[in-house]
Amino acid sequence: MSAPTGLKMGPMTNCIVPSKWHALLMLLEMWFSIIPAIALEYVYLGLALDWNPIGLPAFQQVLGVVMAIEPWGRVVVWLLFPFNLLAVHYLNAFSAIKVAKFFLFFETHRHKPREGIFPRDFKDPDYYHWHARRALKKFPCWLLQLTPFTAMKGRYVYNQLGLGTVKVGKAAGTIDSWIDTEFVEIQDGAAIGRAAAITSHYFTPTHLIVKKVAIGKGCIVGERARVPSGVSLGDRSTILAKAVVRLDEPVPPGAIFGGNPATRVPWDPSIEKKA
Amino acid sequence: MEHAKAAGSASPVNDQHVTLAPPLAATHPKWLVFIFYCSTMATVAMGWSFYYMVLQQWWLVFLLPLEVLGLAYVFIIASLLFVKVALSIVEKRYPVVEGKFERDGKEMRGYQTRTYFRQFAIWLTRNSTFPWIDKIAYSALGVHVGKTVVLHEAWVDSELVEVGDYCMIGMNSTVMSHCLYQDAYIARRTTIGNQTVIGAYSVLAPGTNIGESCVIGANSSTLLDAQVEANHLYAGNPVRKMKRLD
Repeated sequence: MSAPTGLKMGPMTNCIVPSKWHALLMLLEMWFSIIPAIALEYVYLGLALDWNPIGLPAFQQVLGVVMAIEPWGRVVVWLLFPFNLLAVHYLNAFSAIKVAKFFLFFETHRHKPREGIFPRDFKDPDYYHWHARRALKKFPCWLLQLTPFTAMKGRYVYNQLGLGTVKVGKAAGTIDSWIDTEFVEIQDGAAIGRAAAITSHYFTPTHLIVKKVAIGKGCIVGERARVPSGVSLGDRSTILAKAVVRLDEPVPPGAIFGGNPATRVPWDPSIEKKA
Repeated sequence: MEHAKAAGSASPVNDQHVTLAPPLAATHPKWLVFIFYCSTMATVAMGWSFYYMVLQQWWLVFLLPLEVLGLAYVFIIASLLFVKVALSIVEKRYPVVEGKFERDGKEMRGYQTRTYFRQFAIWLTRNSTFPWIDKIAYSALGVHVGKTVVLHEAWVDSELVEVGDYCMIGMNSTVMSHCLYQDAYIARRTTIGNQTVIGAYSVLAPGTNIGESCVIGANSSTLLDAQVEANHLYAGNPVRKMKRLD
């Protein structure tokens, strides 16, 4: 059970880069976030290969201490090699999230993210900055998709990049579905199916609609279900597989919604009998 | 017979009446890091041995591209073996079972734990240079997969699934053997017969039993325990018999 080869799941950050300055900022994000990883690799490769190309005097002393417990110092360093790989990747991802937050601080200072209906025109500040925020969130999200591990992929990245507009609880399945990184609220115990799309944005031919989407405690969102902006799922409600929920649909607690467009359907006792 | 009921009677909902595949828990088992450690060390050993071979015979350096590809597959095959070992331990505590159980119960937790181990190997094969070798991972992890099968563009559950020879499973379709329904967690065996084609974006619910040489249309879905007759074209939500294929 793994995502199809052609799909990258996780936080949904597809966007248009709104200006060449934002393209530059994305490059700077990659540049800054790789610096701690390079520092870590300098130390690790230095210890592993007795190598100090810049000739840092303090590091030379550390190398001397490690060499003094030769050969076991070097052997221990090589035995830690897999952890070094994990550490360098997660250090890169962590600093990418922090650098993205740093840029997003100034981005939101220029224009505060807000809900509403905005014309699809880059002259509109809300539409422009909506794309800008997503462009800045792109790199850390992409970086986290490169491992089969779940660390930092779930609640952490959503809550960090959400800038206070996101609350993701201990829900299952957030790494196997597309979920927006702002105006999303997912309570504890929710179960989100594979390839479900939970978005706080919705495109019409002329407008962009941004509205909060809320998923209650213990909800089930089915496989490949579409939960667009404005929808609020009550506690322990169920969205069936492949259902397409209407915008602003209030799903009452405990209800089952299914179909395209999704309507309330009765509970099917035959499934209980069959299984 | 079960199918006739599902297809014939007017279903109250014109769609799949189950929500599929219990999603994975928020964190993986910590043992996965140990599997990663072991398989990385196997890869490092291969890399160092290549380095010493190059020191002996300098012209071996021209095999470097092959070596890089080989190292990637040494890592994948090593982690596949370690995942098999880990699964044999995990399945003692959480055996693979069919039936209806409580949501978030021991059986569902077991499914999530086992699937994390299986997903580790399958993720690696699917993200490698040749993603279609994921069927090797599937068959090594106990799923019966026939010869010449296309799986790698679909979500296929990694246990209680049988795929026959020459099957093609379409893009982004889901072949499931587990589902959640309200407070129930249901696990049933899903089988696909030889030479069957599953269309893109279709959803197979747990317990679906598809005969030989069938076609399931694109964007269609089956109900729980649906029976699909051999040599027929099926389509719709839920699937209905469309015509006989000769």
